[in-house]
Amino acid sequence: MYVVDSPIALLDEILDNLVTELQLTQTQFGKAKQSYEAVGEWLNAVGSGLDTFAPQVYPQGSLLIDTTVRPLQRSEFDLDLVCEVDDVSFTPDELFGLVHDRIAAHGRYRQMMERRSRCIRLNYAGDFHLDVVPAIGRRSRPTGSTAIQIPDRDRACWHSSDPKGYARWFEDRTAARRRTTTKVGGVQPLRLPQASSEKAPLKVAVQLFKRWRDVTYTTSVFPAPSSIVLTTLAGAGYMGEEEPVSTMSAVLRYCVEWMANGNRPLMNPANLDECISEPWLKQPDAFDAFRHHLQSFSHAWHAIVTARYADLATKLGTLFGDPAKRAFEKFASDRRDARDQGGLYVAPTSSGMLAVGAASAAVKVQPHTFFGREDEDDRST
Amino acid sequence: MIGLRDQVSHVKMFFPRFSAWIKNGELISVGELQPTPLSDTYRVRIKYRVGKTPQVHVLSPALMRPDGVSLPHVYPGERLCLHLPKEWTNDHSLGRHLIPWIAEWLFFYESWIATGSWLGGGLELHAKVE
Repeated sequence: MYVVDSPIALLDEILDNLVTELQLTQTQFGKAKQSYEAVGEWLNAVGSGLDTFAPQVYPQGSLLIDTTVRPLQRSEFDLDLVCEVDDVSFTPDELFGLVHDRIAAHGRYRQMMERRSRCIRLNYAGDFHLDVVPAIGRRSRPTGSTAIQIPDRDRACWHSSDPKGYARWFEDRTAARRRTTTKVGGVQPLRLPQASSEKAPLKVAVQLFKRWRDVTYTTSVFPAPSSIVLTTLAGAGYMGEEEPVSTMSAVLRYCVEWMANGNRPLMNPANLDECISEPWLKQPDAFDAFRHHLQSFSHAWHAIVTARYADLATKLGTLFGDPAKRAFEKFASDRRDARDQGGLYVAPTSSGMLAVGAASAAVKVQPHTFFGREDEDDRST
Repeated sequence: MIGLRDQVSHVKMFFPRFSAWIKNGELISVGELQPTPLSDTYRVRIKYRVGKTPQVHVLSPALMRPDGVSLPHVYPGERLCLHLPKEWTNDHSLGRHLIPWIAEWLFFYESWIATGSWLGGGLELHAKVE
């Protein structure tokens, strides 16, 4: 909980509660970690057929940068793991087949697997999809480069990518210092998701942005922008704001301006061969639709940062759905719990503002029980 | 037992911005409370006679009832219901006990408007109370 002594601090706490509702819970993360490690070990095991190529298994995407958001229509998260091998003499088909066959050799995985264009999907029904992405190091990459190539089955060619490089770019944008990863064989450990109140505000903003997209595009005929587009724009627009509200405002301002400058290539900052706004270039109407939606988001966001407490839940619900109401419920029940534990105070000099934790001249809210009903009287007067 | 004049002192000591006076053996206190930085500012009035339950009303703004649902934790006439009968005695202080409960009630009232649920805990009147 924050010391809620300003409108922004209050909204920040609500947004943190909201993001907690949206991301992988600690339990879900535990399950994902177990499955991720088990798949990694299976791919790495001696005799796997892959083991001679020194596979490196690591997460990519939202699992790597801690911006997971529960999909709207179903309960399963989409989690990615990369299986990168050494040998550069594979054809795309050969590499895909090698990884696919190894997964299919496992009795349980064979029941859960699904062949997709660039990955083998393992369905852990009710929990998550684990997408195993085969990869090799990009030809002639310099030492220390993390650039890779991924087989694209549909186009029968390699697709360039650099998920570790993207994560490095994004973490730099969050202003978080991070040690550069050195290449290690085997299974790289997953990092625990952070509690949202300790999380870099840029990550919170990205999660909100993705959630808003999911809610908005349920009723759109146009395809939604990809998460990498949203994350890249947000990262580019971030100027070091210190908390979620001003971060979201800054990101929105930047995105509205970016869109106003017209449909054009947006390159992956970690892979300058890759244009991530290709879908918009192919379908300009989708670009226009997003520009329009973003304007609405921007207006709605402005209304939120100037809203009364009692109106906020409805306004946030319109943008983000049901988790907004639960975020408010948590805000209130946290204060009830604080009262029950003797930790809720009222600040007499700021007109009775409730505060968790004592401050000078604060008056503790003493134990009591709300009572009564509008249609009955207690006759104690 | 805290007499009326001491209760006036309690109010002013704990909540200096509240006014409090005694008229015809009854204490009247009026003040403003804003439970969160985004809340409305509520003007509330307390009327109290020793040996009776304090009577608390919100003077402004008008309390809302979304969709016509009854307000939780008020008595008829919108008198706020802040405690069980046994939780108020002559030794309780309007400043130390009651006014914080009013601020808290206003917070949970706004949360009720926002979410549809009363999240401050409590009991219905017809529940069995020891």
